[in-house]
Amino acid sequence: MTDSEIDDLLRRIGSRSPAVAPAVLERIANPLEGNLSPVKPLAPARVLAGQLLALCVAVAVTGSAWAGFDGIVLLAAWQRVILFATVASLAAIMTRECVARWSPGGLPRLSPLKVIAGSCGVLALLFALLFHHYRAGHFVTAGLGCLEQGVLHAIPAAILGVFILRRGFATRPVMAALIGGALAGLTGVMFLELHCTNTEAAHQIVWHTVVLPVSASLCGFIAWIVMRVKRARH
Amino acid sequence: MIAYQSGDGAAATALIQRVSPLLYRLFIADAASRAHADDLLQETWLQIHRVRRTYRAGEPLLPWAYAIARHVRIDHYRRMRRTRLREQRLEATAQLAEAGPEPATLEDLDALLAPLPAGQREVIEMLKVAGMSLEEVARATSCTVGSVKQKAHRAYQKLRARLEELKLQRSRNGAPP
Repeated sequence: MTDSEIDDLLRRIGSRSPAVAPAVLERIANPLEGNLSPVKPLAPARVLAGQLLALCVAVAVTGSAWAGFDGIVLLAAWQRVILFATVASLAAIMTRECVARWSPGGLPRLSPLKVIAGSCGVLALLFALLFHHYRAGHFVTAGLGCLEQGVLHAIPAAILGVFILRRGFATRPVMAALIGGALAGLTGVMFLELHCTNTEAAHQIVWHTVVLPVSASLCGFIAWIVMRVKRARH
Repeated sequence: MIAYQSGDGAAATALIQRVSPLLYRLFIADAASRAHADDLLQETWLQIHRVRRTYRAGEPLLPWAYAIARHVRIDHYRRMRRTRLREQRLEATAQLAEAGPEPATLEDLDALLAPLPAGQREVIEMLKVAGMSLEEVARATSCTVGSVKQKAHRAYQKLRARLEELKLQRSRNGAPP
């Protein structure tokens, strides 16, 4: 049997769809008509993406202004350009995906897991290319400190991001939270690159990169818990 | 939809009458009864009403409505599954084995699509029955276009095998092909 024959068969038998009873349509329409106040449509996707991007930069810069721009001064001009251009490109992709997942009928181009894995790969490669100090002094203690600071900056980014997207509606909340968490994690990475003075390659590759998946997992887990609680209450 | 967003009651009624049959198709395949499908449809419209602000002028309406309907359906079945799991501890499970799947025919869409996994079935229904494009189905299911293509391809492979099997059965029973 060919594909076109299957197409014809599906169209033919699909056209005989069961009709909705008029009483049901009336039952649906009546309560809605009694509660019809005008609503302002959600802002365009580009505006929301721009706001998210600005938020990430603002959180990272504010955090660094507070803690000190000690990391960026150690980088050469070419390193700064490559590093922040790459991070900005990743942030642009993530904001676009995040907004698509927070509005019903939005068109996501990548799955959250691909975005997270791809971003981690790009960041690890970038750090391997930019940093050539191969010592690893206080690898775990220094690394845990950076991870903590990165995640602590991802938290306000995630909270403020939810505030920006509060009028949206995610039809797959865990997926939306994963991508939102990854964006918040990238804010943490931005902060670390501005502030952290440790230029050892292993430290950057492992501890700065890991902020992104940790934040994404935390946000995904919180969304999963919230959904379970909501369902249990219903 | 824009008139509905600005509070026009007549526009809301017209929209409900136009879109409901398409959404109903999505529910009737999985629902235990028509009354159940009616309830799901009503729940979907309540959700659509709550989040009507999320529709943006110029974007396709059907994927937006389908995405919300799909969310309601998934949410409902997850709740049902949890309830059923709890009930099984108290009730005898012997009754479950009694009802088997209905035999499929070439004229019954639900029975024909029944062996497909839920994800593949809804993609086929949206693409071939509702007549949506690949991009619209991707919007409705919050998947990428590539993922929709893959699901459609796998569903067609299974459907082809099933249709061949049904034709073979009919020819053995002496029915016209």
